[in-house]
Amino acid sequence: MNASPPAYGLWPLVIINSLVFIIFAFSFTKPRTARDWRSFGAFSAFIVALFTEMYGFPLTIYLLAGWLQSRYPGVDFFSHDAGHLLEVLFGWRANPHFGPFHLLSFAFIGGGFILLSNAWRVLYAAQRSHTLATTGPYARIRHPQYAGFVLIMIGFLLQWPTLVTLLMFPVLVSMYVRLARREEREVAGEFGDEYARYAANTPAFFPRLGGDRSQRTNASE
Amino acid sequence: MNQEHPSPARKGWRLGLALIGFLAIAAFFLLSEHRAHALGILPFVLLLLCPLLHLFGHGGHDHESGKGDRP
Repeated sequence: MNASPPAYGLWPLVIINSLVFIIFAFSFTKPRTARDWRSFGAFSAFIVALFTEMYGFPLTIYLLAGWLQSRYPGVDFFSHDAGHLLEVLFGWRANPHFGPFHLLSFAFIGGGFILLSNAWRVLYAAQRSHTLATTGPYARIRHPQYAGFVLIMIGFLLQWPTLVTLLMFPVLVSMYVRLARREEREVAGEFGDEYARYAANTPAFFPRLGGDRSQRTNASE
Repeated sequence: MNQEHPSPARKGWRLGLALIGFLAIAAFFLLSEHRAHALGILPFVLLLLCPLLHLFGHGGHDHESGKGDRP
């Protein structure tokens, strides 16, 4: 576009962007227990690492600069636009903010936050009445909040892949799976048969596509 | 803190509005990113909006009163 201002070292932007997304997530998860804080904290670490590379210090670009410059000699990899690596690697030449991966990332990130918000609404009501949350997103999957976090992280990986966030992703996903398992044991202890019936009919993370929810067995994991 | 609970419908409406507000702010930051630092005070104003949206979405001060074990 126009004469490029510095694309990195924009630490106020790192801070503002991180805060916006962390407050956003906090708003729709309301961590209370130690387990809540662990999942929320891990997500926040992912967000801070991401925006540090996006606006602060492009570690991934530095590490891959030699390879990138040799394969894409015409690209200025220290511009912001080129940091949308997937768009560059797959040959998108126009403004990357309207490239396929960026649009897809919006769907994932927006979808993840909508899922978090809808799940929170149901969970909040259930917690107040001390009942099991089984409606809304909880009717399709047992752990919509963890699924929401994972969707948001996938979205950011599509939009702005970095080595650090790519390494963090599997670690965070396995952590969420473990936290979800522990949570299940606790809720099963509290709600007994009711939870067993719910868990038998509702997949943990991947909703069944179209099918009648009572007909198939739990094959989600 | 517990005296006034908005009705579920009202609460849902407020949560929905807060969600839309957050999504709009997030979209702004992700789309205008490389120029945003030239916009001066606007990013800070939007950042300040976030806690306000948070309070608005959860209906003022009643959001600490729920107790439960599931996150």
